[in-house]
Amino acid sequence: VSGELEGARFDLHAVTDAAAAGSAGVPYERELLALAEAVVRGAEVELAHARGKALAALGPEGFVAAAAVASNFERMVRIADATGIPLDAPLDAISASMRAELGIDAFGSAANTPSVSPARRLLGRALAPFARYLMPALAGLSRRFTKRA
Amino acid sequence: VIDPRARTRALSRAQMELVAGRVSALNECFY
Repeated sequence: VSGELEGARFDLHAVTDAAAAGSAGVPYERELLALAEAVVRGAEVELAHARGKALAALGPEGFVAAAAVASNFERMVRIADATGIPLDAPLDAISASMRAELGIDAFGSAANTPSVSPARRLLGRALAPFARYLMPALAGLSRRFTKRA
Repeated sequence: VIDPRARTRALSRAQMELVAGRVSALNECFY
């Protein structure tokens, strides 16, 4: 959705398939993916190498932002999995096809989200082209709700 | 829900989501 809003299209397979790195269409994606990989799985030597490459490609500000995102999601996935957060509606229905295509439904934590019925899956496919309009609207509602609380 | 139009200066939204998505996938996080 964010790619569409930026007027671009990205290949999402790079998220789940390391062999697809370089084909997503995101600037400096090889350095960003190598940094993400090293943060999660790398030994100290690999992490140092990925840090150096990312710093050279992105500059200090970009590198710090990338490291912050990687670190934050290392923390966030543990909380999401440990607390068993399900995927919100209508995002579960809208993302059903994409999740199946990328193999995300095979992850263990997928069990926390009830399966999408055939009728809602169809509705999700119908709504998917409008996600670029729905998500900003939902974000606005979310902000308003948070301010009131 | 985060507004996908939100921007930062250092990285584009797509770059942030690529890093976030890969870290999540490596941890097999569905959410």
